[in-house]
Parts: sequence; structure tokens; C-alpha cells
Amino acid sequence: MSVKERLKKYGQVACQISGEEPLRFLNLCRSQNIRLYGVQKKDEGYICAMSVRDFFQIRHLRHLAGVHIQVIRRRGLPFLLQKVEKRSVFVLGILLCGALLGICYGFIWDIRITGNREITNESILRYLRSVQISCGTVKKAVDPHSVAADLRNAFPSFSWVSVEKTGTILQIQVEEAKKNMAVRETTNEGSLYADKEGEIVSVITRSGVCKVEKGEYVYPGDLLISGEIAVMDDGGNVIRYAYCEADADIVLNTAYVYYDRLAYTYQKREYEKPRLAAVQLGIGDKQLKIGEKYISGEYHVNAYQFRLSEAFVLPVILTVYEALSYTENPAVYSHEEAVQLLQEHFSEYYEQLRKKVMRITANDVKIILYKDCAVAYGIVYTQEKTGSLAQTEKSVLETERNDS
Amino acid sequence: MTDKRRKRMTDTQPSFSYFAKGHPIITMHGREMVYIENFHRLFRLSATEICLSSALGPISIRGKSLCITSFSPMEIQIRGCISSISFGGEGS
Repeated sequence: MSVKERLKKYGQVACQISGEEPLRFLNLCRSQNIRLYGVQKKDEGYICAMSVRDFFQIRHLRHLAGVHIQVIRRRGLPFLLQKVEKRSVFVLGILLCGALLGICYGFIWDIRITGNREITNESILRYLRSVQISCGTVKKAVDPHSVAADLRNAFPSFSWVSVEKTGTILQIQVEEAKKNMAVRETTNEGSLYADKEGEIVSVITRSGVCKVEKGEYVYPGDLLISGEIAVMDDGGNVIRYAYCEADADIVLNTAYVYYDRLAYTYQKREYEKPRLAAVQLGIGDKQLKIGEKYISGEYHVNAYQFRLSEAFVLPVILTVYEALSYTENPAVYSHEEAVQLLQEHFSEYYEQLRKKVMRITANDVKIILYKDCAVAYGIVYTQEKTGSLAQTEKSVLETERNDS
Repeated sequence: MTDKRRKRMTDTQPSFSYFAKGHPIITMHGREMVYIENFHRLFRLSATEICLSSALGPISIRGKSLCITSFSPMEIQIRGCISSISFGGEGS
């Protein structure tokens, strides 16, 4: 049986039967082993459906019964193929595209790392490359559990690692242990040293010997809480030193000097409409750039990664380079503009500082307008915690020194 | 007729006497569907009545929106709102 004959099994033809003896025609079909579907009476005769293969066998029955058969509907694979025969290249393209997408889905095309602070993305990616995991790796070859375990071993500062394959993305979430915690893991002793300059507001010691008092002024590197505890005998002589991990909450009054100068005269840039300089298409490691090879001056780069869904990222990146040309003309800020700009600069600084410190207690920043420039100057007073854990400088007992 | 249904029928009716005598076998599923086997021919078809001839004489199926969903040498499957099935009446 040829392919066309086979396909005829899957096609169905609905036809309208009219003429002299339509019922006889139906009975004849039955006697010829032709199965009919959906036979019903219509105004102008009967309608029924049959397979394409059977349709080609009813010619002589039609003559016997004297009926007229009109095809009213065709459906099924053979008709669909007939329709798309003229657009075979298009259909082939769709099929190839589908196959390509299916193949692409089997690889990892994006690695997203979140939660890291000290360890950079590049370090993690470099390590992953060393264990044969990078963009383009087969998904099946990546076992999230073993990758997470490997990362924990390779980077001891990671307190928690989660690796997940989502579509074509490898999502790595990490949590880094705090620096002090890292020291704690390696040693059980240490002292707290000042990492900022300021006046001590309060000290709450949990362990160790406090070496500073409230109101004292400290500089970076000063010992705040010692992890060395002297053990004395009844006579008040030090017989030995015990070591512990110093722990305390120490709050300092600190100050930050703020200075911002803005000249009234400046070069005002007037940008022209961005010009499309180059387009780069990247597929995997291969890059194809059309347009200017080297773009001088200021330019914008917009990169778009093709994706079918949030999780199905394709290895195709389109990068558009837009050159920005401008002309510089001398301009002058008015007093109001200068004040507004300085205020905006200070607001940004203030917001950043507010995130960094415990509390901002006061600021005396003032804007002074001079003849040729405007200056914002002053001090921002803050309160913040201090104390970083470091190895204790061990004292030597007098007796030990004598012995040696 | 599918093998499953044939098996079910043979389970309920162990003898093949009906087939041997050429009597029609009528199976109803609720009042929406009826299967008739061992009939001779179809001699009337409309939306309200379908008449078949059989060894026991004509069989008339009456109802509303009647339609032959399958018409093959072995059986006829009728779907619609069936109100009655009767023997006799106008013969073939």
C-alpha cells in the first residue's frame, strides 16, 4: 500500500446525496462494506460522511442508485497535506524550527546567581566552568544537588546554596556567612577592634574584657573588647590567660564631612538624536556584527536575549549600539539652579549614608553661594556600630619569659 | 461492533441463537442511543422516524433529531431523542 493510500484512511469526506434512490444507495454502501457516519435527512437529500478510501469505491454504486453526490466537506491529514504541499518549504521550516527549539531546550543558556556579596559572579562562573558547567552545557549533565555541594565545598563562606534548573536557566541562590561568623568557624577566640573613628556612646559587653569606656574617643585599630582574660591567684598575680571570643555591641558617635562644589559656568551638552551605529547578533560564542566596527565617543548599548518564556531562554543575543553625538556649549547655572543641584546631590548622599549607618543624628550642611561657584559644606553626625573581630594579641607571662 | 461490546453481549447472552435465526438484536443506551444488529436494510430515514427491515418484519424507531451515527454491514447506531421502538407497521 502506497503512502497516499495509507493516508486516505485518515481523511474523511462529508457528502450530500440527492437523486432517485438515496436510501438504496445507503443500503448498497452497506452491502459493499462501506461504513457511513452521521447519516441524516436534509431538505435536499441526505448527508453522510465516509473515509476517503471508501469514497473512491462508491462510483459504480452511484450509477446503480442513480444518485448525485456532492462533496460538502473534506477533513483529515491527506487534505491538510494537499493544502500545504505548495508551501512545503514553509512547513519544513516550521518543523525544523520546532526541532531546533526542542534541541535548544535540552541545554542551559543562562546562569543566574543571586545572594552573593563578597564572592563575585565571575568567581562562581569560573569555578562552574572548571567543573564543565557553562552556558551551552547539556541540562541532563547538570545535577543540581551535586553542583550545590561542590559550590559549598569550593566556597566555604557560603552558608547556604540552592541550585535549580528552570527551563533553560540554571538558577543559583547563595547566602554568604558574615565575616565575623567566618572567623568564628575557624577559631573560638578573638578580640574586637574599632573600624571607625568616633566617640563611644554605649558599650554592652557579652564576652571578653572591655577596654574602653563611654565617652572615650577611639580610632580605627583601637582595641575595644579583648578576648584575653587574665586569671589571677589570691595574691592578684596573673597565673595564666584564658582566651574567648569577644562579643559586644559598641555604638559610636561618628561624623562625616560633606563637601560639594559646583561652578556656575559649565559645558552644556546638547545631544542629537541617537544614531544606529551597529547591530551585533550573538549565537552562543559566535558573534556577527554589522555596522561600525569601532564606535568612538559616547554610545548606548542595548542587549536583548531572545526568549520564548521567562524560563525558556534562547542562546541568541541581539545587541544594538546607538552612537550619541552631542555638541558642547558654554552655559551658566543660575543661583536657583545651582542650589537645586547641590540639594539633589546632598539628598542622594544622605540616602546612601542613611542605609549605611545606624542613625543620622544631625547635619549642619549649608550651601554657600560664591561669586563663581556654589559650595555645599558641612558635617553629618551619625551613630553607628563598630567592632570587627580579629585575632587576639596574646600577652606573655612574666614567669614564662624568665623561663625562656 | 467492537470486540468489547460483543464480549459483553456474549456474557449476558451465552447462546448465539439470535444470530443463528437472523433475529435482530437491539441494544439501547438510555433513550439517546440504540444499536441494532441483524437487520436487512434501511427503508425510511427522517429526523423523526427511521425504519429498518428485519427477519421479524419492519422495525420503526421514532423520536426527535434522529441521526445515524454509524451505518455498517454489522450494525446501525442511531442517536437522538428516542420515544419508541416498534415492530410491524409498514412493511418493506
